[in-house]
Amino acid sequence: MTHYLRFTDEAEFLFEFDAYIDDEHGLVTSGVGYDFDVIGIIYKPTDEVQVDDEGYEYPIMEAIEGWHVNWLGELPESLQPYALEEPNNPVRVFAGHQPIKKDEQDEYL
Amino acid sequence: MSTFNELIDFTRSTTGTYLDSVVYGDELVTNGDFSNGTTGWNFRTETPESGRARLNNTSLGNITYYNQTAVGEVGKVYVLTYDVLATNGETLALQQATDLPLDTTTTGSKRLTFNWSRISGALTIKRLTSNTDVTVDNISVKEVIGGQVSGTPLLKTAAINEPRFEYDAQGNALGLLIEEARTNLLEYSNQANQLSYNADGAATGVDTTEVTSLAGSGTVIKLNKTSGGYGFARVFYGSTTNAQTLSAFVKKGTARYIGFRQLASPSTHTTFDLETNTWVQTVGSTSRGYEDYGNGWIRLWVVSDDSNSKEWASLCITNSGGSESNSETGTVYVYGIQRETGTFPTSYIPTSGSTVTRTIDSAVATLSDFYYRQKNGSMVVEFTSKYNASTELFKRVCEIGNTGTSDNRILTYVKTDETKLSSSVRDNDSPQYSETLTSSLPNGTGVYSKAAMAWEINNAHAAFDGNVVGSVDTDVSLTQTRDTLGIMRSTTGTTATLTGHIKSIQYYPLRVADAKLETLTS
Repeated sequence: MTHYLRFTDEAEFLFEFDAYIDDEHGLVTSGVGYDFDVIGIIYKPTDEVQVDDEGYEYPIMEAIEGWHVNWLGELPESLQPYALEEPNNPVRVFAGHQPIKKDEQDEYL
Repeated sequence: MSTFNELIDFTRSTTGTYLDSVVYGDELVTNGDFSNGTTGWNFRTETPESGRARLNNTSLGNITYYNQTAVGEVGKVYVLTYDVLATNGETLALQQATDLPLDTTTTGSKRLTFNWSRISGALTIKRLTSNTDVTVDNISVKEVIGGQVSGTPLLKTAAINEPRFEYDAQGNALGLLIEEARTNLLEYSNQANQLSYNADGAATGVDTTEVTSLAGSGTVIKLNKTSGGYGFARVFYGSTTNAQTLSAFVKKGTARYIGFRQLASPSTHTTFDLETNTWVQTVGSTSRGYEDYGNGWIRLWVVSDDSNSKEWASLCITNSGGSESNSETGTVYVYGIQRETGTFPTSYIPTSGSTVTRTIDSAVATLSDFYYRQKNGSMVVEFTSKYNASTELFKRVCEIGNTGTSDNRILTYVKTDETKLSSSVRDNDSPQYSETLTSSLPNGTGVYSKAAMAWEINNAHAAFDGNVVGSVDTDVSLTQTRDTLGIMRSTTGTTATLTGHIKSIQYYPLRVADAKLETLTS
């Protein structure tokens, strides 16, 4: 099962994931019974658009709150306070682990 | 003999795609290239030209067919391939219970997959009409004995924890695919209306089933440029200076060139000539490549790993110079666009509304599950490798050791920033043997390397691609007990996983002789 985690910022994430960092390789994103995927800041399109030099319109993006991480596997107790309700439209998923759509749309995440 | 699943503990927490290709039997045609004259062939009614088969029926009485006997068997699936060297536009046919037309109206390499239905088993190629003049060479018939019996390679999705054994489009075994975790950063990898086109209307994209997709069903994107103007179909993704790889499967329509762009500037697209299968414009990328996926599909990729800003995933029907605004017209079919952070492409990750991450592949074996001797052994591996040569990492090809400590590893590994392959032995956290096998290990080329090392107390040596390397180390201590074999990874975890195919891995419970090491790696 995928757990969608949100931290206040990268510093809080790194503090909580200290046990998953080794000196040689940095973040150890895969281990026995778990994988995690660091998304970081998520940008969401606004209703406003910008026009580039070639006349092409593209949406202006804005960051949504927090530093985001997807966790696959049983979530350790220490990380459970950071878990969000599974969103309907996650910005990122693990292959083969798409969320089950609910009736009501959650926030874009 | 034990099976893969009995010996290897393979895991991957997500699905993953791979090419399930065709496995062929032996060549069934004798002298298919006519290098030995007409040996094996019967020509009705005159002698063919030297080194090829010309069926010239433009004059009364000239030949109407050629054949050889006992080639096929009713009910089995075969693939016929042949090169049309010259043609007056007429069609030849393969004689079966119902004749099968061959694509001989144009020159080029051709292919036909069919069920054999002719009881006699004879391979007969004949004209359908008079005034036929077609010259053919390199005729081959092989039975389809495994993989996709349709005869067409297929991109398949392996389930969670299912290993991916790949074949190339020609049916050659590539081995077990091991990849690091990657994310397709495009939210819609195969949907035409999620791409942006210039307002001048020169280029459009639609989802179509006009051609069979690599997955065997579903739609592909048809890019169509009908006039001079902008030819791009693209996604803007903000800006990053990290190394990015942009890839897509492409099948030629009527357009000749397809371009790829990632950089904010210039707008020049790195450009591939679909007629000659060559890159003709390299501006905009630091490296690039392509791979045949069969049935006319190729996968193209460009890598931008310099410090320039990247902000586009753009494909473009372009000219040989890669201009996004150009006078070219025509169509190109596209399937599975992928943008990933990294210096080389990995297998396709389909997306539809979200970016999608494929997690790392992991393969380990427990030494007690086979006859492992603690103080003697030899290991031989054949593998391909992809790695980021701008960063110092120590990626494992194979490692014998322990799950809980790296103190006792016997391994072959890549020092990525030096493109160096080495073998070493450690015992009780003390180095016992170390040798550099090569300082130019292939990187992303698909070329296989063969490495071997042999060890026993006070004797260790290694070999690479047919030659022993360095001299025998006669001061080797082996005091510790080891329990695990890591395949393309270390025994302690997956952080040092090497991306590539491992075609074979062999363990011998003895220190084989140096001459044998050379033979095993030849």
